[in-house]
Amino acid sequence: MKKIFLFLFLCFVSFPGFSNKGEDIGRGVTKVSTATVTKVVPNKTHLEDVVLTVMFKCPSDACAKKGIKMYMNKNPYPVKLTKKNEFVHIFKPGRFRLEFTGNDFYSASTDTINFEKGTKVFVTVEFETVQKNMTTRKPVIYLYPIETTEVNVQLDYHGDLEFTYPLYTSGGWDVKAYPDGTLEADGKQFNYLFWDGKMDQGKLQPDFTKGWVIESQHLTTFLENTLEQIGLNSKETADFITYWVPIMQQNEKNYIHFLLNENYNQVANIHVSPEPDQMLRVFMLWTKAENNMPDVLPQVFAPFERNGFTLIEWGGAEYDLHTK
Amino acid sequence: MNTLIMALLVSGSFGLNTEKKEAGTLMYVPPFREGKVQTDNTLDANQAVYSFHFETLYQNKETLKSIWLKVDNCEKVKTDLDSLGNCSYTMVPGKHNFKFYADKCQVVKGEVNVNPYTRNNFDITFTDTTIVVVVCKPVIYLHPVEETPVNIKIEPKGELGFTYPTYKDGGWNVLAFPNGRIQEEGTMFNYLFWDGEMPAYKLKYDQSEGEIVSKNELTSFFIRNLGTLGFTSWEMQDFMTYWIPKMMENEYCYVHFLVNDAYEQIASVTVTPKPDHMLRVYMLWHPVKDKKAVNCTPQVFDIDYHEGFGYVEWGGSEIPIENENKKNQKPEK
Repeated sequence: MKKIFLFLFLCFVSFPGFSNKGEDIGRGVTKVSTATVTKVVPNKTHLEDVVLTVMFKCPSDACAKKGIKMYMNKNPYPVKLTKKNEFVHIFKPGRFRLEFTGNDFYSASTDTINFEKGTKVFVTVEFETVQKNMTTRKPVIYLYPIETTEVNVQLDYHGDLEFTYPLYTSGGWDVKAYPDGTLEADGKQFNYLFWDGKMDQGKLQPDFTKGWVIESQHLTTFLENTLEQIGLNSKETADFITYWVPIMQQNEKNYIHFLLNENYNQVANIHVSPEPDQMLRVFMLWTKAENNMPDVLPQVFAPFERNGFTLIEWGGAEYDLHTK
Repeated sequence: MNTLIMALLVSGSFGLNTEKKEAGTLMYVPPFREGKVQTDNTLDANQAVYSFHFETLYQNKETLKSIWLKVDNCEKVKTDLDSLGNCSYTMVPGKHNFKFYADKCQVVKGEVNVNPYTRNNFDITFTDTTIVVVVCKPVIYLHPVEETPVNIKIEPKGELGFTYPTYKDGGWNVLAFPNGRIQEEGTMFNYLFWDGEMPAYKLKYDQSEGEIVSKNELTSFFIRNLGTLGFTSWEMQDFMTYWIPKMMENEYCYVHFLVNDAYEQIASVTVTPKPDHMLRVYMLWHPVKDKKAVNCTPQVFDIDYHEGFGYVEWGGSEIPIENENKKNQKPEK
């Protein structure tokens, strides 16, 4: 008897879908906050009212001091949390859309719900933290002209530059490049141009069905082989490996995905004059691989040959992949 | 009388000499320190009081409950400490060797010569041996006068981690070119790379030497100092592009360089043929809260430059710093 009653109730209230993504951030892999009606039961003590119980779930159980607010049709209600991270609100029946916000969290909302009198409604809100900035680490640029050439390099980074060396000025880098790769700026010699910075990783749209999951003991060999295939030489590969392997091998397994050339433009565009005959730009995204990661297919790279004035650039970033 | 320990007194106030250390700073405290000596004529001629205060550095900060003590070459004795980490013995005066043991901590040794009719205070600081310092990115550059086959053996004082090209049993065997290129098994490199870990308590340096550098001054600071030491501009670039992004996350950093002999506490190196000029620079650094957090004077480097086959190595570590509110419970008389 009771069960049937409950079931009917649920059917009655459960149009037109209770769960809704809080904010459109448009990336398949990124988690969003959700607000879901979990239970509706009749209430014999408040026959004229609706008793709403909201249960909050926050990343690392930190719901306190997050300034959580509830909006009913845009009208704010301060949320006082119990020790169990619950909040009870009693109100007159009607059609309401609930929205929940909190500092550093994506907001979560339900669709408009017809709240019937004499019911207890339970809603669960699962908050997710807003994505932090991604640090673009150590992009370095090598220039190999055929003859000694004055080169101007301008970066169009989709984030904020932090450290550059030699110093990047508003007009870009002006260097004298030698065929052996030596660069001269301000009377000093360098092997590469260095920059780093922070950007919103939401600007990247990697195809995460492609890439590799690599165990840490195979990382060096994997990078040697793959970077050679992509077209880096042994010195560039050594710079790459000695920078990344010590950081990445702290994880047992890493998921690795490369953004090459036009895909690198999602991170930064580059304008070089005179224009190089060949450009190879390699950006590695990586993240700790969990055991339940879906299978990925290896990426395939077009062969790269160094002909004429060549520019090589590599960089990378740890990607915040919210895998459950 | 063979048994030295006659009585175990537990008392609370010893009035030890505590050197006030700057908040938020590191690191090296001599593990065994002699404190105040007071005359006490109520004692016998064959008696002296030895009072010990024990404390720990780093993560293991809770007061020790007990320690093991070895006096001269007698058996180890377990001793309970009072709530402030103190214990006290009455023993015969004279020369004694002490060894103190605590869980997961280094052994602390002390040698004393104590007069009769005295009360003597000693401070013992244990360092947690489980705390490691990550030895970051030592890279080695070779600058021979002519194309030279070179063998390099490194002996890190801790564990060797990642190496590239891969370090083998007999060391790296490479062909070094005058332009700085290094060939190993047919592949060209600009440098040899290794990293590792070592116990933090093994690092010893004089904290009063060094500099506090604000994040905006890092570039000019390194250009000045590494230039003085004799780095080439591209070696400097490798150093700076590696460290500055990490250090820039802090407003201020304390920086100390271990140069040549001092580098030996990180790793020894044997190079054949022997280079004419060797420069090894290891940077220790940690964040500090302001320009005055550590009372220190800039280091002065005295490097004689020798013509010929040059060897350059650099590395560094961010070192663990002591908690700011450490040592607030000490009895002050």
